[in-house]
Amino acid sequence: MSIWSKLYYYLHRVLKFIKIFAAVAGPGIIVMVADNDAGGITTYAVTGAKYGYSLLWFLVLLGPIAYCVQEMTVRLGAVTKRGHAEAIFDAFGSFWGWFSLLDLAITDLLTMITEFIGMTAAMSIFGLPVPVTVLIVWIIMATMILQGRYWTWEKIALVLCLINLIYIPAALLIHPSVSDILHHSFIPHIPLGGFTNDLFFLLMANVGTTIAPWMVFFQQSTVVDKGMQEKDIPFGKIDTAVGSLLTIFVAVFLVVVTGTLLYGVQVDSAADAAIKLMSINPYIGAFVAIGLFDAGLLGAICISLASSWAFGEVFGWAHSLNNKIREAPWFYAYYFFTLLVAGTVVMIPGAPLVLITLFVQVVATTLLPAALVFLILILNNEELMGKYKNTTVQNILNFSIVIGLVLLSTGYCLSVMFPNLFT
Amino acid sequence: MTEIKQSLLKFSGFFRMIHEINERYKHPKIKMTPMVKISLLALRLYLLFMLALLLYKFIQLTII
Repeated sequence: MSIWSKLYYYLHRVLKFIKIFAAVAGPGIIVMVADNDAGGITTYAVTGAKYGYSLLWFLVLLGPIAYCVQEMTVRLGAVTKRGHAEAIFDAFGSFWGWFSLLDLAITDLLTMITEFIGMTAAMSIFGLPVPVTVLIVWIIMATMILQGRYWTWEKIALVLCLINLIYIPAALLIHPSVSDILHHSFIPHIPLGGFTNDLFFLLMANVGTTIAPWMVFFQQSTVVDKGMQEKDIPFGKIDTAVGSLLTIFVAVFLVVVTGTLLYGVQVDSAADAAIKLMSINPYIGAFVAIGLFDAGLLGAICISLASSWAFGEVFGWAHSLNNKIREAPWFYAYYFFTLLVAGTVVMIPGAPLVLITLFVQVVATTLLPAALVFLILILNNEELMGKYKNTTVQNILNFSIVIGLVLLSTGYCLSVMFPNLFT
Repeated sequence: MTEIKQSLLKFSGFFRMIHEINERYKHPKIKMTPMVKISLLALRLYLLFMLALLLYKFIQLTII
């Protein structure tokens, strides 16, 4: 075989791989990028302003952890063709099923409100009143699902994921020191000032924002709705790995922005960071604000769908984005219900938005251990998973991750409930 | 009157649906290995702990 024939054969194989990957990719990238929602963006902005580049290594470490958890949902969804809510009902009975479903519904609704808080705060920087922003979000989110095709929804969601990368050009505009970034990203160290309560709180907040319970439900349902088969699992894993890489990119580049320009400045939220950046460099401030709006929108889209899918699976309603509204009225009704409630709450003058934001952490902490433990237990069921069950190495890794996550998220929840506990 | 009756029927339909779900998933299908039993017990204890904390916080905020 000549070198040209070999090259042609190789290129053909690569093209074929890219073609299949492009068809299968989506759920992993969307869930991972959406993970950097409005709350996540705020956490990263505060992390950068408070500790500069010092915690970049911790963010880099969270990427593989998120991958290990989400990769399990790809296998479970592709093998069982069931969403996580239905899988819990089936495997563990109605008690744990209802607990997970209702906890998910409450967590998602409250998180949706925090996404709307983020979006309205971001747009208010450009002078847009809260009701106008809410109306725009309602229109975008309704338009995305009204055409009744999963593929169209996924393409729009991927465009939103692309916009989420706006923090990369924002960071490049300030010409940060690449060697400093690389040093802080790959060499773990405790920041100046030692291991303080503030640092502990921020580390836990970063963990809490990287692994959220809705992500497990969302990705598994997306894998099922997309119709992924067992043969697609390797591509689903690559999709998830690419997604986790992107989520870390977004986190790292935002920390670089606030760590370079706002280091030592008191920052309370991402919107606050954007306002302060506006006075330093209007373009960077605008980029951060646009990124915050996009993060909130992407989060809201995924979170509302996670609940709708879960209810559809359990109640036996038609629950696919490929269904028209008249074919799956309850699925869409729940989607619009969460949308309307979250948007309306944000518009109520004097609504306890801070309390809601804090309460989200507490409720999510009650659901996270259950969702993760159920995931691992089902993944160990040989009858159900066959050759796709967890290996010993995966079990050691995943159990360690779950125990670590539960301890840290519980610590975070405790510090939110009792702010003086760790002082 | 008819509207109220229809609403009540819808509600009874909803409760029937929940009852059906409870019946369908009455028995857990997962094999109850020691690992599963220990994990479920740990989850129950964890949730009781969280519930106790929430109750304490609620009492602290409303009464104290």
